[in-house]
Amino acid sequence: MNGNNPDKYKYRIEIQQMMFVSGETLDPPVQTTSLIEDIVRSQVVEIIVQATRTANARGSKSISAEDVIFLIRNDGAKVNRLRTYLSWKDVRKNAKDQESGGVEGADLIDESSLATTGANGGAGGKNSADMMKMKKSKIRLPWELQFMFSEQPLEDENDELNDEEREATLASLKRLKMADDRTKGMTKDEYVHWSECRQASFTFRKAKRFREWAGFAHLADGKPNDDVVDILGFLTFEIVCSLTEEALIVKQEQQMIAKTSTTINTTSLATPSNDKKRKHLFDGPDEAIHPLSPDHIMEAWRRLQRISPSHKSLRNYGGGRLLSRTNVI
Amino acid sequence: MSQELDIFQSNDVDRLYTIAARLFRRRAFDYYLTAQQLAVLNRNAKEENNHKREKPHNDGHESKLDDDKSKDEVIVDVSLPEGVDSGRALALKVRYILWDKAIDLLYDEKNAEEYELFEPEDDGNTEQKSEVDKTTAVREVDEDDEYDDEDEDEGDGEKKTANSGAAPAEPTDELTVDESGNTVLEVPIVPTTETSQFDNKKLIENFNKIYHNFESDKDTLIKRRKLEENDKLLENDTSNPKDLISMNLGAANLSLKHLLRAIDDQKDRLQLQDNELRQLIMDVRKNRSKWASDDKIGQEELYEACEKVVMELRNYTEHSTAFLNKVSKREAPNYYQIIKKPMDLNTILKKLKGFQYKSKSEFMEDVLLIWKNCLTYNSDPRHFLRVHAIAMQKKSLQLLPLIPDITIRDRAEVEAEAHIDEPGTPVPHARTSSKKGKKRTRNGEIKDESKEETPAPTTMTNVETPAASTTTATTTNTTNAINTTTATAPNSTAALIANGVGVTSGTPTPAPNTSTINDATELEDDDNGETNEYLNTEDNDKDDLEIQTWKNFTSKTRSDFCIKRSELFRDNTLNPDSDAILRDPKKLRNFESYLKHYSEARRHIFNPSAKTTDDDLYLIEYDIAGGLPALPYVGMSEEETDQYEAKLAEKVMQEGLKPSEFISTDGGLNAVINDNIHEMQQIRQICFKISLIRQMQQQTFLHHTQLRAPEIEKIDDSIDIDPVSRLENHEKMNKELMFYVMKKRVSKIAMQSGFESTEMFAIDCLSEIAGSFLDNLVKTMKQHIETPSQNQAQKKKNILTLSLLENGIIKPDELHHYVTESVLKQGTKLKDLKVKLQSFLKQLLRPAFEMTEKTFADDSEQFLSGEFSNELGDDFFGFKELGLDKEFGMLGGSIPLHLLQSRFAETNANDDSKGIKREEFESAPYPRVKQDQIELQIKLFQPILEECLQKTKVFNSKQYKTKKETSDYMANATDVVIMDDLDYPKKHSKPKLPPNGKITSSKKKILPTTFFLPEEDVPVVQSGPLTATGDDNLANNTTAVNGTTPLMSDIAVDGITTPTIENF
Repeated sequence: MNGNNPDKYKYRIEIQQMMFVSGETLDPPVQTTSLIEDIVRSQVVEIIVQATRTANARGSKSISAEDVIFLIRNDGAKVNRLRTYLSWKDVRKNAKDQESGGVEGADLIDESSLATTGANGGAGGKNSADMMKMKKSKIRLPWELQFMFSEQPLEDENDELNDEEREATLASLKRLKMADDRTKGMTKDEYVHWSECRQASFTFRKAKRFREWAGFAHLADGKPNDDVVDILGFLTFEIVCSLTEEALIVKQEQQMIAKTSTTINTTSLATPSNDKKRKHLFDGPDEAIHPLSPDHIMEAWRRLQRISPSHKSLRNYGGGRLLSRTNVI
Repeated sequence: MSQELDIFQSNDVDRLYTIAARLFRRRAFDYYLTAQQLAVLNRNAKEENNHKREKPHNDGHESKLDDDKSKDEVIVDVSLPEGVDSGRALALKVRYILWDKAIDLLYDEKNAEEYELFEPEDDGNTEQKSEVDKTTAVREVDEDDEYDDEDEDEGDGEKKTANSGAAPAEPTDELTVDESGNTVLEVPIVPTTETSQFDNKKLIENFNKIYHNFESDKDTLIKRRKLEENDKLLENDTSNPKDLISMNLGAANLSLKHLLRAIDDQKDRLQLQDNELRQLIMDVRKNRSKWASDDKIGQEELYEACEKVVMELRNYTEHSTAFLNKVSKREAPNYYQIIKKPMDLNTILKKLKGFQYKSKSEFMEDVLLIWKNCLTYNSDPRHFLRVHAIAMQKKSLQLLPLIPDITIRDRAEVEAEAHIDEPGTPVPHARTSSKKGKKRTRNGEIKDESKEETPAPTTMTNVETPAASTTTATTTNTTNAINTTTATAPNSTAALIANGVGVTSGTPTPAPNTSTINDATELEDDDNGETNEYLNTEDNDKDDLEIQTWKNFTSKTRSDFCIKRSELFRDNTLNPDSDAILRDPKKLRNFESYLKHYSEARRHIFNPSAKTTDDDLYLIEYDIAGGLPALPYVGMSEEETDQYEAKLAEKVMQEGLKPSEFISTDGGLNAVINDNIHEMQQIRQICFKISLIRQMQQQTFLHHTQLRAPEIEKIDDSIDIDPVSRLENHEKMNKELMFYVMKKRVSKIAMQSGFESTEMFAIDCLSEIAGSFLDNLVKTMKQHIETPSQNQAQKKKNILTLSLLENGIIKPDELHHYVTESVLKQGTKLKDLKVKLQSFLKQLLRPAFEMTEKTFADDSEQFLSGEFSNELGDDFFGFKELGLDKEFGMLGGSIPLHLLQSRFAETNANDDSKGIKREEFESAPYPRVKQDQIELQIKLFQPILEECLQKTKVFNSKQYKTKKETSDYMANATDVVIMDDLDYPKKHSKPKLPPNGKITSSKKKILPTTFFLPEEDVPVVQSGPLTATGDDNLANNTTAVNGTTPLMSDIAVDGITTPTIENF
């Protein structure tokens, strides 16, 4: 909230970019980004703490990727997107090994489909078939059905696209549509900028900074897995996006309320002179674009932290104080 | 009912009397009347029995009564000194009981027994009478009873005549007429030790009917206090001796001498008080009372009993207060002039502690002396102390028989005696235990009857007035030896002296009592006086046995309560700091249990020491149900329910048991879940097999327990809840039952989610949670339905969705999603998984499979016919050796088929049915062309055949190493069989790789070596048969034994093979 401590906030640009991707103006105020950064950090801390707990329950000391995914297991779409993301990451790594860095600058943050067609387009071609094959090395999560039993069948090559994946593709399609809408009116330069912004990440190529920023050393034993950091990068992106989207909704609602109230006021006052204000050439823009202010973010945060009824249903008639922990967005 | 009620309404005296008499026989009065009253009544009853038969007209004059007293009242109306009062009291009682019955009638609650009461005629009289006689005989003792003429005249004149008329008819009782013509009704007064105690239990029941006012308790309180102070005094008294050794430890002195001395020496180091120390030592001595002594025989028993009696007397605070301590000179200056041998309870106690009594008689003397002294000193019949003295005397006479009659003797003496007299018999009285009071007294009678027992005559003398007493009173001395045969007979009435000499009773007898108890006259004098006094001062309360008993029992409690209450109102203001007066729950419980177990409680009463702990229980405030009427509906008794259930069960047995609503249905989700679970179980078994194979690869030795497959128990849905709970009269929604049903469901869901086994506790928890969730859900729905809000019109569907939302199911879709995802889809997933795992398992086992499959698949008979012997080498079966080959014309080493008869039959049958098959056709033999046969062939073919021959030659010549040999062979070789095209070895002498470069898919996997054949056993080429010609049909069927390399296995080698090929 207080942007006067520049050392504390290190991700202003990234956050700005992410917010821009999810629909904000290009330059939100520093207070907003600082607040978002605070929130994101607290979320990261929460994730790490909870994941450590899961890991401890498993009997291991360090966090593995599954522990983090476990926290968001209820969001099927997100898990699947994460899964595709991870598998693509694998692909990239393998490709690098094989082709010695044939794939560059792949947009792996978000949509795998985009990544293949877009950024990877040029370099692809020949090895896209290979990549497709590689992709089959699917990420398996330990709570899947097959792990219920002591023995697992051999990897089956032709795994049909199951419903979860369909769900994931649905969600990503939605996102793509949103992105499409947003970029419709953009010029080429703007689009380039926008797609650059899409690559913003907390962790990409700055894993060390991220670890320091989140205070990993204090939270968990040992250095976290590379995968974990990547997942966290993915998740932080998600957090910022959902916060921004929610905040935008809040803003919209507030404006609606303000508008109705003002119209009520104006009609009651009934001052026709004010009613039709003439427009001049050098007048300022019709409606000043108000960037998201911290209170919008706060409200969005509050909404996202609302305790879902399923968490409290058992206590419905029991009375007593409801203990709740921070939701992981 | 009305008929019976009429009796009461019309006040029919005759009938009432019969009823009363019956009631009396039933001992209904026992609980309400004092002993004296009972005695009077008893006598009357008896009289009436005789009377009735002899003089029926007797009733006549009774009915003349104009007041509402019934006949028995008249009879009952004994003339006591103030005869009218006591008589009235008694009459009132009787009437009370009678009308009590009437109330029962009004409420129509009479049972069979009650009914009998009101039967108009009673023919069973004689029988009952004899019974009554028996019971009364014991009691019936003569008693001088003077009928007070004047008093009667004042009251009801008719009564007198009635009684005098009735009196002569009494043959057994002595009814005498005194000088002034008064009828004297002799009624015995029984010292009612036994009755009062036996009454208690019944009386306690009625305690809640007693109305008591604490204001009249001032006396009790004061008396109690005195007793307590006295107790302290005594305590101080005994704890005076400073030296421990001198401490009174009875016999312990001897055995503990050294210990005591040691303690005494180091006394200053001890922190204990003398008192405490003594208590400790007392405790240490095992099972021995403080009276025990090694030297004195019988001391322990005697002193124990004596102490109890004294304590009992002391605790009888109603009357005992005055006798606790010595009479001080201040109170009565001339006391010691009159009383030469003063005595009081504390002195007795001290004497006891000083072991000053040698026998029971000495003790008794002292006890009785107290009362006697009092009566002697306070000669005025109206003196208040006399009442107490008489009461105490009565009490002591009740108690004294309980003391065993023991004379304490020195052991040495006894032993000496026994030695001299009769070594076999022990001392007669000393060894009987103190508990058996009755028996002991009987023993005592034998010895001391005339001395100690008899001085307890409770004679009731009626002295009309002091003036009248100077005249000669009727005296009846009857000394009856008591009948001791009946166990219930009160022993103390062994001999009763009825003494009518009322000469000196009016005037005080200042003459001091000599301690000789045998002085009969004096004693009797005194006794007369006492009883007089007792009766004189008898007030209404005294009359009432019930209240008396109650007072006795509750005295301590009442005083405690009064003390507490006075705390509350100290200084005449409400004291807010004082403790509230609360019911003590412990006492409450005691009270309850006391009410329940009279019999047990009775024992406590008998045991005087226990009484001190028990007697503060009987305050009615502890009867919490008091005053509440019983519930009209009693409920069903166990038996009734059992019967009803048995009937129901029978019905059910006939109709067949209906399944309950909780049985699982076959359809719906249940079936799916069951399938899933079954699927999982199968998968688990497959997994087990796989892991077993893995283990076998790694370990050489497996424990047999590891080989055991997991057991599969199929879920049995047909199990219903137990038949008893299915009966109609059982509540369907019984909570416990529901819990079990829920548990069953929950465990099924848990299994469905993949748990192989769970702890019961976990399932319990889960069921509880599920239960509370459903509970919440229903509560929410109920609230929504019952809401008074405007939105009430909302549809039920909405209500349901809303309640679901509030309980964590955000959309109903979630439920659907759960069913499709977690149940239905899981089923398909499981099936997939199973198939995969099965194929995996198959792959693991494949090498073994292939061998067996291939060898047997093409219905080859090589194992049957023994053809494999061809491959193994010549004459495996030894046929040649036996010469069988010639006999059967065998060419190969295989067993001729016709030896296998069944086989033949089979093939024949097959031929008949099938005809020629394609396979047979294929395997039809064609003779091979040889070198010399080329010319015989068609000309056209000859060049080709030549060419082939050439090729064959070249091929065959390869085996020769040198060129010479080869050329030789090429030139000279004859009889070369031209090879078939097929026979040419294909150019795959090195194993061919599949196009993908991988060896085989199966090799890639980690396969158990156990199922691979050894390396050398995988031949590339198989040897052909040895037969040169293909005549034998069956011999041609040689097949590759090994099929691990698919490429080679396809090569069928037919008959035309050369020996050269063999070597290839």
